[in-house]
Amino acid sequence: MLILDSYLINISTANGWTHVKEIANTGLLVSVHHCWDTANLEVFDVSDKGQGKKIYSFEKVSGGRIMIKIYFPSLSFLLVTGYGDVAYNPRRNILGAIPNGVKISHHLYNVAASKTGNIVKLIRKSRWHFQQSIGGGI
Amino acid sequence: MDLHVEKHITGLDFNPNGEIVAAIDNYGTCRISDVNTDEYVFDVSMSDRGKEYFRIQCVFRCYSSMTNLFFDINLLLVALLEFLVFLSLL
Repeated sequence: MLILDSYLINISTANGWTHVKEIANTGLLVSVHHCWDTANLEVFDVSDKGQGKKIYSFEKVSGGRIMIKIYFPSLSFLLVTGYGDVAYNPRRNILGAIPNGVKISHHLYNVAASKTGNIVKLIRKSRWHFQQSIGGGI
Repeated sequence: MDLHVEKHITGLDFNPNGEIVAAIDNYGTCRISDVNTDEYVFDVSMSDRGKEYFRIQCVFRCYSSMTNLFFDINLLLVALLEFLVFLSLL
């Protein structure tokens, strides 16, 4: 929970944003929760009817910055991770989630099936590149 | 008060092959990267695309009396009428 109090301002962002994604043909559900200053990821095995089991949990990530500019005389900076998003590619079994400010575009995970069950593993933290926009068409 | 949120990713997706990832930030820059090498491929600004037809603004006011409230409702109805005329001209 994050509450900013400054002069006449009170911004509360206690709820944050949650994204849920099904990983096809695995019986897994991914839940990503973003608040202004933190984000975390959890993977649940829901293949057994009537019960879910958490099989993976990713650490909380501290975010980028938010700047509160008040007309007089104060400036405030706070950390944010943003609204976030989650994407899954079934062909390669890769999961992208938890962007982090301007440093990390996304965390890339691999979802693999093994004898003991599904395994989720962090492959890398992908960078956010700082190249200038060339403004071309898509 | 101005609220400036630092640039951050608001959308993320892979292409069907899973070789390319696209991310878009809150300033409308869509950036394409190679999943295998984590190298930058291409980016494009979406913020200058499209055309703005109208803008919706939320105004929160405190009413000291019901007269002021009805006055503002009248203004709102006039604005709505103008908007409908504008739509009919499109």
